[in-house]
Amino acid sequence: MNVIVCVKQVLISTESLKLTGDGKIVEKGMSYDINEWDIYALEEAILIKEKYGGSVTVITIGPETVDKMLRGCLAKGADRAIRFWDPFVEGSDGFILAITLSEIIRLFEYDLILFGAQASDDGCAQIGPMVAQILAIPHATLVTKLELVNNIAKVRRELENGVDEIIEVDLPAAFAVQTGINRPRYAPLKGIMQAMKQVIPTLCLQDIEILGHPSGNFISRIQLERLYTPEIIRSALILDGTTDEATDKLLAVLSDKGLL
Amino acid sequence: MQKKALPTKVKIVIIGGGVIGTSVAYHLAERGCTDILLLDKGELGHGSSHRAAGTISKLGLTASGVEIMKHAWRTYENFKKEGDIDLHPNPYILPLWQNNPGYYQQYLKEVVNILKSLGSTAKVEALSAEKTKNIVPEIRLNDVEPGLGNVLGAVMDWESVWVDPYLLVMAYAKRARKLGVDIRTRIEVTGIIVKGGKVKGVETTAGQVECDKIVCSAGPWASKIGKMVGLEIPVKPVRRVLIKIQKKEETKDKWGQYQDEPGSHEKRKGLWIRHDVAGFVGSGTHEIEGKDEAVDPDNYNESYTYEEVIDFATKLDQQMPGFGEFDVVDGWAGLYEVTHDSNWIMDKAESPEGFYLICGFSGEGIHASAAAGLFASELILDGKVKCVKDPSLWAYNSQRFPEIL
Repeated sequence: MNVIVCVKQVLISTESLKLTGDGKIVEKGMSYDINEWDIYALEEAILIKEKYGGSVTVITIGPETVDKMLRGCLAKGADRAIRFWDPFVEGSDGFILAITLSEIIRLFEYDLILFGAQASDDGCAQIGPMVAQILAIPHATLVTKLELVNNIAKVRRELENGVDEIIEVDLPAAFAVQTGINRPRYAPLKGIMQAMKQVIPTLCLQDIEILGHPSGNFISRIQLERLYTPEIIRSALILDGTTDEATDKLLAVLSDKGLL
Repeated sequence: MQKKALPTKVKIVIIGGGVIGTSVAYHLAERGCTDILLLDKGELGHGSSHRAAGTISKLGLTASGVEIMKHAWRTYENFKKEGDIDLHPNPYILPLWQNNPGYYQQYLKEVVNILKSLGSTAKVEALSAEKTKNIVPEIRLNDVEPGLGNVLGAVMDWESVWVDPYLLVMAYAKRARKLGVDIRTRIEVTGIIVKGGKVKGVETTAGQVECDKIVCSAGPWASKIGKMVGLEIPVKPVRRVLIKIQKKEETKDKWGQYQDEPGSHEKRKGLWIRHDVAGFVGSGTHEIEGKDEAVDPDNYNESYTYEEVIDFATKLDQQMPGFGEFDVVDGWAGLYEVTHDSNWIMDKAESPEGFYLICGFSGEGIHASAAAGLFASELILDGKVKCVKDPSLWAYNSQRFPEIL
């Protein structure tokens, strides 16, 4: 069972993000780490490898600063890590990233592609399904359980209002996994020592067949207009007194605002 | 309701809401001085305090140090009694090697007698090599590193504890607030107003505030604040890393913290490790204070690197080969605010009048915080310090840096 895991590095901050005047994130003093959902996707891939054999390939898009994250994935048990970087992807929308990832994935043999259900920074939750569409394979999102039997995946999905569904999906397929699907391991020291010796191949635009992609013009269709911190306006009015008095006051307030 | 405006005038402005600033605020307020505005440019404790290892001991290495730490210890025990912090037992062991430099060897050999003569009640014991091995069975006694020689023994501080540093900051802040101190976060001091050689107020990102006195308890940012009044405060921010690890099975050890003195060799980096909740924290890149490079406190790597993990593991394997395999859970880096001699600065500036320096704790901020708060409150309110008999005995004052200040 060959599994590909797509991971993303995100900003980690204990405080709110600071923005420059023109709406760019101040990255000075910020730390980065792997997206939380992707940790579960990686663990699921390693568990599958441990159970059925095969390999785990981790893929990400990012500059050199993502190498620590990739070495962390290798330390936990991934067999190889691939980093793609080309200036054109910087600031691209999800669709461009999905096309890029799909073309990287086409370079490898795979039975399963795993994603985190969403990224903690932009929360778009769309890369997994888009990659599946581009590669023309079935997919499922919000996966909380994954069992593999004879080239079929039995998948439990977490729906709204406390309802789950179980579906069967033919492989190869792509799944976006939810946190809690497993209990992620920590990187053993031995794994870190080995990972530090591994070479992380870096791909760029020339390495993938992307220019002639049927998506047409290779330009983001979504443009960021503004990034800003919303103004905090807290307005609270405490209506004290007995229930009758408070009710009268409430009616007066609503009446003043023309809501009655 | 809009955000409450800053007061236009207060008696004292404290710059920095870490473990020192909040302790100073609490100790002043306890004496009835509550016309205080404490400002932090971020959140309380988020600059550096919450990243600390949090080790506290009864030890002080001079008569004043011993005296002042008795007060500090009482404060921490009270906070524990009132349910705000936990004091986790952390028996602290310092190995003594054949080839440690003279002063260190002498100190370790005589530490028990020295402490006794200073009036310390700390339960400190000098251990033979055999007893050291009994307490730390993982340790290697012979030829630890080239040039270090064999382990001769160790000094054990049986009563050392560790505390969650963030909870300690909150314990001070809660009490200070309750007593009436105005604590504001996300407000940065951008300038200090001085007229006629006296402190007159601060300029902040939320407006101007008049005041008579300013306490600089900005930790690694202290020298930046000092520059606002033309002072070169000799406090250097240096990066220190902590790596959190976990063994496959939890062990019950007689030791809590093992600390190798890095100063035993030029350019040698040391190992420290202590038990933590579900695992251990430590590092293998502990340098003697003052030797490492200064970093920009607003822009340094707050995370750890895998190279630092390997340094840690290598040191651990050299000194404690029996420690066994482990997983790396997490890691982070914080800042020490070091002075040239690794001693604290608790003093008022010669000029401008009304400017107090409570900084430079050189990695002992959590341990020292209650002592610093008491010392500062007496310095500010009484003009002299009563909690130690002769503060000039102890090098807290800034006069020891005449070439800089």
